[in-house]
Amino acid sequence: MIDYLVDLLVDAPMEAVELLKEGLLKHNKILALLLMDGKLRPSEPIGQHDWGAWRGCLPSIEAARRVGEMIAGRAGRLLVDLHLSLDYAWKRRSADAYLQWAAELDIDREVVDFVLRTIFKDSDEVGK
Amino acid sequence: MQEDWLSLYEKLRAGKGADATDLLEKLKERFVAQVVGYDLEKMRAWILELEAAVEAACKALGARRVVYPKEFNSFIEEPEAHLRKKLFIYAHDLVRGRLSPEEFREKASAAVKTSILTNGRSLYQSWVYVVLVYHLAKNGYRLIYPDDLYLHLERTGRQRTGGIPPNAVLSDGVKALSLFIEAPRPVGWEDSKDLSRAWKLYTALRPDILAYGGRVLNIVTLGDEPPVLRPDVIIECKELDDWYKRARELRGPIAAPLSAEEWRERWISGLYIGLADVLNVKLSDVISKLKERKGLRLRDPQIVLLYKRFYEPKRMFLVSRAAVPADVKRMLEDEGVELVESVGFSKEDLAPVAEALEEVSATEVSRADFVELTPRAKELLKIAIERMAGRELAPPQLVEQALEEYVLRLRSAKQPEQD
Repeated sequence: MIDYLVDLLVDAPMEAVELLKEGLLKHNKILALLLMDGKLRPSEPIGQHDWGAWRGCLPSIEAARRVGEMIAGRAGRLLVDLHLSLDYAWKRRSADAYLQWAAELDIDREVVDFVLRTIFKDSDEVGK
Repeated sequence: MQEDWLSLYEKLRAGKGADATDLLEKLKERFVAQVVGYDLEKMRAWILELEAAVEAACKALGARRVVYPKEFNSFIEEPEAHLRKKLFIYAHDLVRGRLSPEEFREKASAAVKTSILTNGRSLYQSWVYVVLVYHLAKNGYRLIYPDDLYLHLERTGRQRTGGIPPNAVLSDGVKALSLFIEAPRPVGWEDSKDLSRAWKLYTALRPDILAYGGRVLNIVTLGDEPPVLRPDVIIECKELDDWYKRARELRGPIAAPLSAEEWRERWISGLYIGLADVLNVKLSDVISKLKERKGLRLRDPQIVLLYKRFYEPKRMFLVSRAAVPADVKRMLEDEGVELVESVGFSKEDLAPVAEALEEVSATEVSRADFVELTPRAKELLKIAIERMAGRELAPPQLVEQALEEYVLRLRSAKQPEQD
């Protein structure tokens, strides 16, 4: 259920937000309002597919992490980072590019290590 | 024609001219004049407006004087000197060669411009607050909290005990109104558990003025969202001509809560940065830990709307010194924000806002009834106190005794008629 919700949060954020509406309003009302009220939408792509991850939009990713934390605490935040990381790795297939992107978006070290260990284990680019 | 700051800098570097300290002071003075000279004149005019409003409010309220936050007080006492103080470190770095003139210009300009913007905002907000108090005082409201007869515009250290007390509670003897400037603010905490509860106060939105009907001595409701009681009225003040074109970053809703330990680590790192700067130590490691975080960017009219949605006050006012374009006005009014525009420094324009505050004033559970003494009554009270030497009666008890006797006299005067 947690995996499903976090995946939904990254891929179809507004569907997830609709499901999580009550909890969000209770735990982080400002973020809930920014996500749910069209008149309050910030200039960053919050609540959009992938939350602007490919544009390096850190504030937007932070917003996704806060919702992830609401779903499952630290695990929820890590799952957001992992989902975005796997998407990135699949798209770019370059360990060095991944490392640079992960640093820009402050992807959790634990997630970065896992991705390097499992996805880029045979890459000779890593650490160049 | 006066020399510009750059030629004074050249003189300083060459060791020419008067005493270096004097030259440095002159350089700062010229820099301030060149960068924000026009704004400084405007601020001086605004300060005069604030002083006039304060005088009228204190007179109407019977208050002794106003207490401002320390920084703001320094600014309104002598704005130019205050801005020069902001250049202290940069000017030293310039002279020591640690900053080039270009770097100095960039950093020092940002510092004085930020200071003038921040203080300009405080000036207009203070003016609005003081004028509202003036209107209420004219309608019979008196300061019942705090009871030192000072109108406090600052909140320094008042949250240490874990609550957020009002800046003022005003009462007309029957109904009371509690006013809070720039609340909520962080309250005192001692460990991670405390901090996790108080965290929302660090990240909460902070409207200019919150008003509550009744005597409300603490608005904190930790664990709730928002973390303060629902206000009856919010008043937001806008001093800039083009405030509606501006945008701000909101960091609060996306900031990850810190534990007390992380907080302490950051605090120590902050101290280290200051120290390392003095010692010229390499800072890359520390800086990478404290890299600047950005927030979500919203336009100012959106932020006004966000305050309304977040706090859900019964009424929300926006006081704009300048006129507001029709589309912004329509957007805000459609959402129920009551706009008072083109106010400038007209006290009368704020009378409807003060009326709204009176409307939300609520009857006190423990009433503070009072009657203002006429000058003659004050004189009589003084005489009575002097003549009562040795008898321990406080003025309110004395008045009570006098009234008892008066009522008795009235009764006995009425008695024969009834007989």
